[in-house]
Amino acid sequence: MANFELTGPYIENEDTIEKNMLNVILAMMPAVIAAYIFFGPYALYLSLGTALLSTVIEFPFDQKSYSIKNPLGDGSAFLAGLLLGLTLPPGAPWWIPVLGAFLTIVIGKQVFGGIGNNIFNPALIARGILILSWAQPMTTWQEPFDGVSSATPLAEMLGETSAVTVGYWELFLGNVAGSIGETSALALLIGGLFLYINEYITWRIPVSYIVSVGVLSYFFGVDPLYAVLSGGLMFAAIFMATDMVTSPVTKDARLVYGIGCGVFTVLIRHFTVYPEGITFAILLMNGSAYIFDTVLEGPRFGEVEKRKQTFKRWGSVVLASILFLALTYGATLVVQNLAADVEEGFPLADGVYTGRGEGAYGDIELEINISSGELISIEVLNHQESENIADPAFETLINRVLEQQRLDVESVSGATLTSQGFIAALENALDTEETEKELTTETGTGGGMNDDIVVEVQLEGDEITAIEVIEHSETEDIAGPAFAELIESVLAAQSTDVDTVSGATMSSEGFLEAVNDALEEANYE
Amino acid sequence: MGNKSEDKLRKFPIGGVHLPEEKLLTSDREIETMPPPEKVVIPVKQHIGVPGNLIVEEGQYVKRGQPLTEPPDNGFSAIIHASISGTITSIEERETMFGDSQVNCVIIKRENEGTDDIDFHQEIIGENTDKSPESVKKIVQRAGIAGMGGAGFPTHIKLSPPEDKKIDTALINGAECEPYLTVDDRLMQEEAPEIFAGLELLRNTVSAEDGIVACEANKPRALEKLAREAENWEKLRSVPLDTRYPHGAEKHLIKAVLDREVPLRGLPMDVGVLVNNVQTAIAVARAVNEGYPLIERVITVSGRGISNPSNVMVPIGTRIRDVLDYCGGITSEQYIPVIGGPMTGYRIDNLDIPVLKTTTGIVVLNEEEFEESETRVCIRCGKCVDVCPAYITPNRITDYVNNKMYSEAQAIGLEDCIECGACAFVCPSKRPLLRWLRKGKAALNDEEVN
Repeated sequence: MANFELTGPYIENEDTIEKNMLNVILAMMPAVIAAYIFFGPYALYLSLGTALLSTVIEFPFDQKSYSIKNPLGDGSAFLAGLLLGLTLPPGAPWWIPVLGAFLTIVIGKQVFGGIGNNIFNPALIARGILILSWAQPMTTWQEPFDGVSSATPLAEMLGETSAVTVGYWELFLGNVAGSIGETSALALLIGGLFLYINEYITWRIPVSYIVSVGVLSYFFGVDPLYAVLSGGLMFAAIFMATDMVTSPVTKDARLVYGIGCGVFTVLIRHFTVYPEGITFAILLMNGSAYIFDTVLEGPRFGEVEKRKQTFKRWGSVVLASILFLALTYGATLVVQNLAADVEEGFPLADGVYTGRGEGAYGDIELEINISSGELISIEVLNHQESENIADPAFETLINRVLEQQRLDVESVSGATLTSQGFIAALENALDTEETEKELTTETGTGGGMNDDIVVEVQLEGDEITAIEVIEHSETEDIAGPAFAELIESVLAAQSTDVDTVSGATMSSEGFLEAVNDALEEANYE
Repeated sequence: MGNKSEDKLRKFPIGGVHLPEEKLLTSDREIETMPPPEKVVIPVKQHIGVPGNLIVEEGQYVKRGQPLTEPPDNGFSAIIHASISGTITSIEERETMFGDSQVNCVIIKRENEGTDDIDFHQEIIGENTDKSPESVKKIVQRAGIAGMGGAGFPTHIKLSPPEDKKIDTALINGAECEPYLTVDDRLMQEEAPEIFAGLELLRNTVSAEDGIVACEANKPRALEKLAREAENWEKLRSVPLDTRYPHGAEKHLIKAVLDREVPLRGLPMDVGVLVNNVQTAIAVARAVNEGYPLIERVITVSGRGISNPSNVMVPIGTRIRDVLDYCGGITSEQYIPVIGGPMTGYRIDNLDIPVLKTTTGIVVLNEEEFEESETRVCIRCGKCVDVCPAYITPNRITDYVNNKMYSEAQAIGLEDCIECGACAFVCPSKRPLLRWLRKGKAALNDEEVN
């Protein structure tokens, strides 16, 4: 065989590993500066400190990369450390960077064989371990400038109770609570643009990541712009997901990888206890990057037919995704409706109920039939409305209610009062059971200090709803407050097994005896 | 005729790289003719195909232009001619180019100033004076013309496509995207009429409707000359290309100029195109009009390791050593002589190998120009994939090759590599990807042979 060692090319471009790393580091400087502005000098320790610590830790593993000319080695350790540092919360304790740098370099990188050989993003490996192991310091956030503890905008958005308090503009600038380097979309975009113009990243991964998060968040009922700007998404899409070593290299694979990151980010945000999903979403996709490269390799130059097929295949994939999203969205709506039904449902026993409601000219009386929790028929028994308006209105309303199985149906226009009366009657009918609960009042007698104490106990079904002392001969000043106190505690406990009032023991015992007597009469268990 | 020159720069859509051009060393140097050397070494095979059958003997006196071989039976061959007049001192096996083992060479020692010509007109044109397609093909075969851009495909075969392949466009490749080389640039500036005459003959021979000369935008004077010359030809025009490597790869040239994609492992004729090099077109014109056989060619001698970079017309078979001496010799202590350009060319150790019909230039790189840094680990940046004009994944393929998994490498496109070297040029880890790809291809060939 010919001696191929002598073949070319004999010229090379100026690009080197060091240059690649240095430029990505430079691109993160706006974020470092923003971190300093918003969170103060400690943010510099967290970001640059982690980076320097990582560089130091890597030295024994990769000594030959380090020299006077390259004091940071090939720069990859500094970069990985900086990536981790910028995702730390502003109040992270001093030891987090130290531990994080160790995890990044040793566990994330060197155990895989050093630069180029790691499957997972080293910074995210470290971050994952830190989040899982030290959840509290890793998820305690502060407002910029004043350092007051605060929820992040993302947490606010995902939480149901607290209201969103931050505007787009603040999110864009980064004047919000969050990881030190992740809050300022502006600083991150400057860095991303720098990388894109200098061809260190392509648009595919960041754009597909951000767009898929936006679109999916919309389907989850979240403001897409807010979902994109809050949390660590911009940082992740521009710097984490595009990490050279752990992301795919072919075009289609980069798109699918970005979309995958987006899908898992949103799923983790919405369905797990973690407010932010980027760490585990990207780690998951890191593991799939090589497979994507092999499976999604596009047609070669000259594979004209295959390209047409690929085009068709992608077309159908896109169509299928749209269909899938539409179906999912439809299904969500149906589920929401069902949930609403369950809430408003008709938890009544099967049977016929009647109800009344006030219409325009008098009471409307109707009869409903419930079977297996479903309203199966409604009949208007009596009303004083004008026939020619009310009859068609009733028919419409009956149809609507039976169809939708809920009461908050639209009124019939031109017969608003009649409609309201009809619904009120329905509500009344459905409330029937409450009002028809067995109401019993029993009296009981017990011996007090002076004479008998007579009480009247009101029961609603099994519930003691009221107690009244009808007769007694106790000292008013002492017994009066004691009775009031006892009534309260018996009602609260739904039992006579309560403490007696000190200083009024006899009166208390007599009272409780009387109540017991009344309950016995009522066969109360 | 309207405006024949176009302003819109054509380019192929995906991949490619912008290289340092280094053409200024020679782009202003007019083509000069080197006097016949003392001795020439003419290999019987300088082209794709089989060698012709020798019809001369040792000790025989040959005139300049006299055929030394005749076509073999299957005709897939280009014959060779004596490029100087003199006596055949020996016929022996010699190293002639990279990768080929020894090739039979006719060695001629100069006599009579070396310019005792045979009657070109009678020898090459003979009775075929009508310029009909059949005549042109015969003349081209007799003149021994093979592709002069580097591949060396016998031109008369190219001009005879099978019946079912209709050629509609004849294309002249003047992209010259390799750094340092300025042969085509100079020829387009100095010989534009000859190029168009050759293109017209080629177009007519394959009955194509269109004839196009394509040239990269980094050669503005050549483009200007081409555009002006195109005014004189009804069916011919010139097209400017964006400056991007490898526009000179013929399939990518076709993609750029005509937006047609030659199918995988297909030929330009599969998409109705005939592609020839600038110098091939000139050779065709001169053969058909003057009966001039392919016995000399223009090469660029460049690089900072040579004292007098030039564009030189040299007899085929001139030893590299003689050409370098003519250009003032090598000036640097450490140098890398490369045949062809620094991207796809090959480095030679033996300066006695001859200039072939396919030799486009000799670039002598000095220690500053020649770069070979330490090979480092792949950081999976994907730049090789981004620039690959064949849309394959050099990083993955070479991983397989380096682990001797040749069939796996083949499955993901090892053989579809066009060997442009863009991947190796951009690699930040300085991995010699093209070298490994070539190694893999050769190993795959060996596997298939055994």
